[in-house]
Amino acid sequence: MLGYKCTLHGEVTKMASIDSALSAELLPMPSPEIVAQLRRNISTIHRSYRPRQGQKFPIDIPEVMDLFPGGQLPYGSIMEWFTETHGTEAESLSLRIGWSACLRNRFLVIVDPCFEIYPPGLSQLGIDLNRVVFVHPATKSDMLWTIDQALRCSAVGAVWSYLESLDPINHRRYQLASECGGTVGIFVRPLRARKESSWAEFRLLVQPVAFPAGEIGSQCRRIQVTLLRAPGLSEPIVREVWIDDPADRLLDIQRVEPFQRRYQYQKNRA
Amino acid sequence: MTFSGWNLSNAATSTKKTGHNHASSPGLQEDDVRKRQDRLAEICLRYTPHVGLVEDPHSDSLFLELTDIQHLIPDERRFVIQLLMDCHREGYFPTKIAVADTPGAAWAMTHFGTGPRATEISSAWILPPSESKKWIASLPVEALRIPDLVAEWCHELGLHRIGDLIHFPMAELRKRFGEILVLRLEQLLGSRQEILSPYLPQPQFEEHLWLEYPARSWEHLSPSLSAFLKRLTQQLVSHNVGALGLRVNLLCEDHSAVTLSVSLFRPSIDPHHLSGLIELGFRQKHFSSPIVGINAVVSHVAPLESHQATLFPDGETDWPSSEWGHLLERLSCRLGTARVCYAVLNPDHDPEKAYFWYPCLSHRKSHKPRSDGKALVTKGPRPVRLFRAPIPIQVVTAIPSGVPYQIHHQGQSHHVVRWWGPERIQTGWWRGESITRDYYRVELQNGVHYWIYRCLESGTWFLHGTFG
Repeated sequence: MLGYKCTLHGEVTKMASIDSALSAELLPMPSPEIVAQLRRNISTIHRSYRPRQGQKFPIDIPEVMDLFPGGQLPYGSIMEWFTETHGTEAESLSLRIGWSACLRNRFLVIVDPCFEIYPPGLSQLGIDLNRVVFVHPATKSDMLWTIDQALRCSAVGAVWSYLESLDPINHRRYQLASECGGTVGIFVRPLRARKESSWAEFRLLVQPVAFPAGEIGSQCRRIQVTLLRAPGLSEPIVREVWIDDPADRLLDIQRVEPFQRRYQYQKNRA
Repeated sequence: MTFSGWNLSNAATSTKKTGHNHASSPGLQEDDVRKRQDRLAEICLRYTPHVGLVEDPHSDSLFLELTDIQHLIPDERRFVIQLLMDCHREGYFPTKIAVADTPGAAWAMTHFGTGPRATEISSAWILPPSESKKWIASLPVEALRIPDLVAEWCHELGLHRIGDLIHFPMAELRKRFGEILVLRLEQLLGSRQEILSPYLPQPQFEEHLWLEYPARSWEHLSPSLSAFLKRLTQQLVSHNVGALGLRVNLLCEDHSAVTLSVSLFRPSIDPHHLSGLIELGFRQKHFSSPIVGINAVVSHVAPLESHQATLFPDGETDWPSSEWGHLLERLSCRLGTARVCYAVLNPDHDPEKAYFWYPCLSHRKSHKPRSDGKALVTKGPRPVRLFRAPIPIQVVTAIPSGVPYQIHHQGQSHHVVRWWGPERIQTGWWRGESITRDYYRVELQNGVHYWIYRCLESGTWFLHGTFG
């Protein structure tokens, strides 16, 4: 059978043929005008779905910016942060990245049905609460709708939420919504959701690292950040982040390496 | 004096409503005062067509011009009693009334009057024209409606009473205290006229409609509602105002009523826009029987805004200004205004009271309070997630008042690797909810950071939040 496949980028490729002679009679080659018209149509669709394609925002956290290509993240994308439990620094890091997306007076929308995100804690992270809106939906359906609406609004920089479960249909819906609004969807999710199919462009795993007994005197907090998925990423990238406690400032980030070297580095900094 | 020798010819009656105080929200208080003034003005308009306002630092008074109706008031005392009874009957209690030659004198008596009152009337003063100067002279200088700074200057110079000022030449007072003191003094004494600006109650925008056929769904209701809203918005256009808040009552066949509240970011007169917002709320409601009637009241209005369109986006934003407002409107209409909020930091040591929620679409006249990081009264670390109700946990300590060594939570035991603290928070005794807690930030063996505290009164431990 002969057929033609149009890719999203407007390329027309010839598919494998079983009986080329028969197929050629049934499906004649399209004229160059038709191909050109199809390319134009596809390009129009492409542009309409990605109005902010190419717009990126720099990550204000220098220690983790090298995880992402160019230290920047694109608008119109979804990020998923996986963590085993609360208190692993995944929420703080993701919120700070969300705040980085709020350039040019855009707003950060936090969808928190449990009323648990603590504004004084956000203020200590350097987030300006005057440009943060907290939405507290009462039901799951309200929550899903709220995220979709916020992602579609171009006045919003990022939408942050903790999502226990998310079906692929809503995930796809959010991806299209973020493309439409040019916003960033940041979802913190439990570790078990890692196995689910996802439309997220970026997926990260945050794992706390227990502090060795010999380092009790240090004020730093160790976590391991793994970039599981990103455009063009062939294999996961693992980084270790040191956080200066209790002021919650990121102190350093390096690849996982022998502890002695890290200890020496720490001493040098001190 | 312009009005001297006139018995009641220019009597001004000031009514003051007190006893209702919403101290926590000054904006709400302002709205509340306005609503009360509207109702009070309706009562007063039964007696005189001239109900007005003057410059009033408290904005809580109404002034009645009785000059033209003196032939209808043979006895001032009975008139005041009748007015007070009407006010009390409508629920306005206590109300203070003063009848004086000038609005300034009436205001001074209702706000600072302590002298003898009219016989048998505990909250009214009737100042005879010949004696009004004597009554006023004993009042403090603040009764002149002067700025606090000018009042302070007077006190510094030993001029505590109005009577102390009256004897000075006006030119001297003007030179030393400025024009405002002289103006108020002359207005009080009646040597300068004070104009009453007429009090105009807010017009009520309301529409009713009985449907020809009961509507069972939005699709059935929508055409009637569109025409209905068009009529309502025409009322608004005629007053050059737009709706900021709308309350729609849908009356059902079984005599029940469902109320939908619509809050707007900017004043609107667009029926399609309003209809779309009503639909969001409509689809969230359950109706026990078909809808037979609609009643809509515009609860808040504001002057219509017009903006100059720009060819290019300004430098500060790259998004249309209407987008943000539309999002807040949609979210508030579906979820409820109280569920879409800003967080405002509150300078309080109690972690639960260190902030409060401020609805994004609040119709209070006061501006949203700015959330400044300086409002944080503590330098201690605060978690990103704070549980609404602290979770009781079991903690092992070496000594009863010692630091945490091991935590039992959700059936699991965790060793504490490191801890920071204690941060003692002891506050709230004046609210009757005194808290005395020692907070610790602890790192468990699995690397998780918790914010826990020991209640010093009971000695029990609680998990209150998580860091990150």
